[in-house]
Amino acid sequence: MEEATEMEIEEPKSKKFGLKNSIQTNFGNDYVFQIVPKDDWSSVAVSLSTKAVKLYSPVTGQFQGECKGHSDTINQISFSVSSSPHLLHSCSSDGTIRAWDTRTFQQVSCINSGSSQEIFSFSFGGSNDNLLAAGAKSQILFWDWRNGKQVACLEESHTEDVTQVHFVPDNRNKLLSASVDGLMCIFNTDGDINDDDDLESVINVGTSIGKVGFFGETYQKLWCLTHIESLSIWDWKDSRNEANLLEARSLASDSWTLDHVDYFVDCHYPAEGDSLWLIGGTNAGALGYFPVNYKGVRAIGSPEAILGGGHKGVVRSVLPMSCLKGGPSQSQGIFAWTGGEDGRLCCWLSDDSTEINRSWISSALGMKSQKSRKKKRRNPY
Amino acid sequence: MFQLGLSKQALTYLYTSLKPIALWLGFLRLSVSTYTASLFYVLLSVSLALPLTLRSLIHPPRFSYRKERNKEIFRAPLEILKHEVWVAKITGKLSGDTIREAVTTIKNGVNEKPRKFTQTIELQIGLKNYDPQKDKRFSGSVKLPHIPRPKMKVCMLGDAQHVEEAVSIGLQWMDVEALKKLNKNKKLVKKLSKQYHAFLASESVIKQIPRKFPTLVNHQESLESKVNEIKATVKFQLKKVLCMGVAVGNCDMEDKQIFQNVQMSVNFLVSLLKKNWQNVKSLHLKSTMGTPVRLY
Repeated sequence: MEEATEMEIEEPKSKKFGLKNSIQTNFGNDYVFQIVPKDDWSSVAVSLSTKAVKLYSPVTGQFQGECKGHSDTINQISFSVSSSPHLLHSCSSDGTIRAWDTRTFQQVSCINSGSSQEIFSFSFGGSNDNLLAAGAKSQILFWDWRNGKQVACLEESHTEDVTQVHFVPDNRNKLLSASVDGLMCIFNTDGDINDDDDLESVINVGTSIGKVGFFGETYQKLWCLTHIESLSIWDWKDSRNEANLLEARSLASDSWTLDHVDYFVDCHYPAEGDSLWLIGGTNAGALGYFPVNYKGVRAIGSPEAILGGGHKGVVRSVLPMSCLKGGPSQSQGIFAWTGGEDGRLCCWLSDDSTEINRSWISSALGMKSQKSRKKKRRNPY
Repeated sequence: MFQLGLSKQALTYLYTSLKPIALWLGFLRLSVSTYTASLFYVLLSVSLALPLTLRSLIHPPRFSYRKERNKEIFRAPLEILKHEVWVAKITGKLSGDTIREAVTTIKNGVNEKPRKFTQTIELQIGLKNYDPQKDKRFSGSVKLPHIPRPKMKVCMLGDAQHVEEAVSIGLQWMDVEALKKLNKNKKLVKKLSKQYHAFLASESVIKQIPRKFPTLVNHQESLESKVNEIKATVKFQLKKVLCMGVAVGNCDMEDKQIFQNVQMSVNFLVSLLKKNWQNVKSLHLKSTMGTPVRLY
């Protein structure tokens, strides 16, 4: 009985989204790692486990070109230098950070970590916007990206792989790093950078950190997803823990009557309001958008959007189109792009204009899956 | 053909796959009459169809389990432990009896050859269908129900109130004065951090020492429970290889405690794998100096 009533309450709340189309990136077992948008949204870059980056049009899904050159796994990509919007940067376990011109798909520059250190993440910033920081194995490296010279190397702050580095959006001279050793550090990057004087604060999360991001009005808050699928919320300015949801997966699963969450993909913070969304997925490929209550009672609400039927494996990246500059009119009703370990890129339609509750099982989806099945069949012979 | 139990789908598939072969034969202009060619065609299709139907009759998981049974049961003597391994492979779960059995075996091994120190019991996990280059990282820490390493050294960097509390529970401590002396000497700081496995710090102190990752304790929670929490937490990390070990207990613990720790850590680790038990190749329990005992 209880379950039935819960369902009734939940159903009208959660939106279901229809699949517009899905792109089979390649045959075989390639994964989609990350999807990032260009500033003007004329294209999205997609990093793949084939060590290549492919570019697509976000609206039509048309393939635009491919950047090839890395010799090991690509760990992060981004369009990050606002002065040159066509430049895409990528970092890889081959120890390089490369820049690509997305008009010609040619490599423009390459920064080498020297000791062939794997590079897990990078960020552009600094008070003069001249710094490039990179997270490597127990080190954080700094370059002046304009002349490609290494300016600093922090070795003592982390003892394991540095999985994330981010310059703080509102404080461009401050850098946040997060590592497998379970620590997040805040550095001041003005002047000469060294381990002793520029480490401003340390936050002990206690377990290997996978992904962090800033949110809140002045970006003073941090969300932090760990490799054991827990979520914690922090105020980085005074290193205060605001919420620590160790059992985030079961919390989210409890509020999702139809499915259970196996992992988290990302957090999404829409610029307006204080709401924080946690995107959880199932191993079978369904996704849910969970509202996180980090004030007062820490709780994860029931999913307000569900993306089901597109993926057949773990989803690795979600690119929400709602953060598009110029409002929803430009996104042409597209809600998000997702990519995952099934090698698929899925494009999701939001249907704000018509009925919200209508669940979409488009004919396009049926046809698509048939196609992919045929491809798979032929493969072994 | 229909007697062979071929579905319509498989038939059409067969035709499409054989067509090019027939064309190819024709293209080579082999000196065969049309009659022999058609005979050849039929023979080929039958020989292709047979294994196909067989394969479709036997569901893949059952197929692998049969192979496993041949290996485990027919070749090896029917030990209870091996039998349990076999049960685990079918149900995808570890039965309590297997763990209990393994814990007893390990304890016996330790009692036979006593060492001068308390041996740690480690859980070793081998993974399969996992690609460290592509799949998500497998690392983190997990809090166990019982403390696996009681000898872990923890140091309290505390204000007056915490230092008092530390003295009462016999915990090593340093106060603000001692820390001030240290702060200027890098070598001493390093030495200190090597001496202990973990640090705790009061809120007022933690702001003065950003270095060396202490865990924050406030005055609301009991210091002792916080220390026990730290001691009960074990780290795990998969590096470039597909196996790793986690300390889950020691030989001085009761069997039941080891059992609970093993069960908890196995279930937790498996829940983090995307194919759960299908990603687990093997599970072993091992004491520091003993031989590994297979759980799965």
